[in-house]
Amino acid sequence: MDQRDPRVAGNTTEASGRAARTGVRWILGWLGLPFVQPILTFLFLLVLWQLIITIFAVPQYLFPGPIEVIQRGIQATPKIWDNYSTTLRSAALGYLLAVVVAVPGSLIIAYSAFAEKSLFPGLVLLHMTPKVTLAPIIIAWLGFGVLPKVVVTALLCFMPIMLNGILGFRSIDPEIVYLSRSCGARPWEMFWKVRLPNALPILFTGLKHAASLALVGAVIAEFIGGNHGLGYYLVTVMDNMQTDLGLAIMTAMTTIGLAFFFGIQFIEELVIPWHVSKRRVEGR
Amino acid sequence: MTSLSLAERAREASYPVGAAVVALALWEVGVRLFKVPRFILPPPTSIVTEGLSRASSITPHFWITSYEATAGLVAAILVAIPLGLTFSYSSFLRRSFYPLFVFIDEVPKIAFAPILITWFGFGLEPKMILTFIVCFFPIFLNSMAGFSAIEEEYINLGRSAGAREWEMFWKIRIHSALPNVFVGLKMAAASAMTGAVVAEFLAADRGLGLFLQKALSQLNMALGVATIVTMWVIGLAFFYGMTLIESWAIRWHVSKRGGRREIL
Repeated sequence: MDQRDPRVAGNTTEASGRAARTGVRWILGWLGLPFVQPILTFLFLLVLWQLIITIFAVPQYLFPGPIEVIQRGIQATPKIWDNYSTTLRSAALGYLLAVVVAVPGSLIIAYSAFAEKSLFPGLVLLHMTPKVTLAPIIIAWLGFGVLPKVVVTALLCFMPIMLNGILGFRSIDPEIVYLSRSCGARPWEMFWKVRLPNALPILFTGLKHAASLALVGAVIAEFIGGNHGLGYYLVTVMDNMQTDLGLAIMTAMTTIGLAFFFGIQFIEELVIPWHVSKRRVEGR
Repeated sequence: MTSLSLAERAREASYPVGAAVVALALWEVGVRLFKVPRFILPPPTSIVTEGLSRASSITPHFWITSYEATAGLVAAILVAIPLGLTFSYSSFLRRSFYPLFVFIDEVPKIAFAPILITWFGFGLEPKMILTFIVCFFPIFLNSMAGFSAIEEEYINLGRSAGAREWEMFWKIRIHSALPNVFVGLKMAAASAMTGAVVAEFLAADRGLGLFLQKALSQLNMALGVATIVTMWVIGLAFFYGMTLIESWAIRWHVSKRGGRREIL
């Protein structure tokens, strides 16, 4: 984020005649909320959107206004919630599966020079391929239940965790290793007190990246072979040209994505507070 | 990067190539040994023969999907970089919209697919637009960060050396922003295929996504896997093509950078 631009904070060169703007800034600063301005922008855009829809009489099935979206969303809340929990469960299970396989896997590869030399280039190559293309095959194999969604999600989440895990477990300053050896650290102490803490910041980068992919995996699998879940619900709703409900469903999906991302970020702050706090001082 | 001799490079490369060969051989032998039915998992050799024998019917779909992905990516580049530049010049725009864009970036972009198909039909447009949406955000956010984060000292140096406004722009701003811009471009290039193919899965009259689903519905798993390999080749070509452009456009930066540090 680039919020630390010195030109923003102390804009002393600006003409002093802009008292009104300074006043607004002072109020915003007094409120102490950096989010006030984006929220105002957001509300402004919503009003603008509604006005355009109303003035130009855009047909509702084509592009509904925010009021309609909110109304339909509230109306359909029970149904959305029903599908919401399905998608949330698929995404969470898939993510967990990826973590459970990828973290130990990355540890093994990082500890074995042979495995790393043979597998790492291939893993990087696989990371760059569009893995969603596997979704139809997974569904052909596993059918229409929860399992194919979990597997597709896990496939998407796997690589970022694996690669960052390998990088994390590998990238250690040799001097730290020598130091702890000469202090007589045992192998398990080396792992718990040196290697793992050293790897965690990079590992969490991968975990956060994967967190934003989890929902994508579940939704794509539901698009293709679903009988339940927000992805399936969205497709059926759009087949009936109910764009207002469709946008409400997308909003619901976004909350899952955000919950995943901020959930992992919260865990990160719990697990490696020493790193997160340092990063903040440095300004990321 | 340290320059390796040819023999050393060959030795380095022999490990991953060997691993791939072993994996394919295990697959081939395992499928034949355990008599796995062809419609569940075909051996690699029959995927290759099936893919080659049907190459003439895959090719037109190959071009369609490549076209959709390219058009979406190029449109995203043309819109996102100038927009990122504009935002870098205005702190008002940045403070008003930047958090909003970060928030919208968390919306699962592929969820626009059903809506786009309702609006634009079964043709190529919804695929291009979805690719555009998928590619836009990484380019925009990274190029804005790149154009904004210019060291004050460079600007001061340029000023005191008497650089004109356009010189400041071309020689300082663009120069120092490009590494960041390319981070976004590479992320976008890696996901361009995803956008095109997901939209094709949902509704299409042409393209590899449709071809894949047809093959699978005929239980022709060998052709299906061959189609997926084709999609992966396009995806990798996009990513490595962009990496190539990067290493040409900012060679001063790429050569300074360590080899494996970056994982998207």
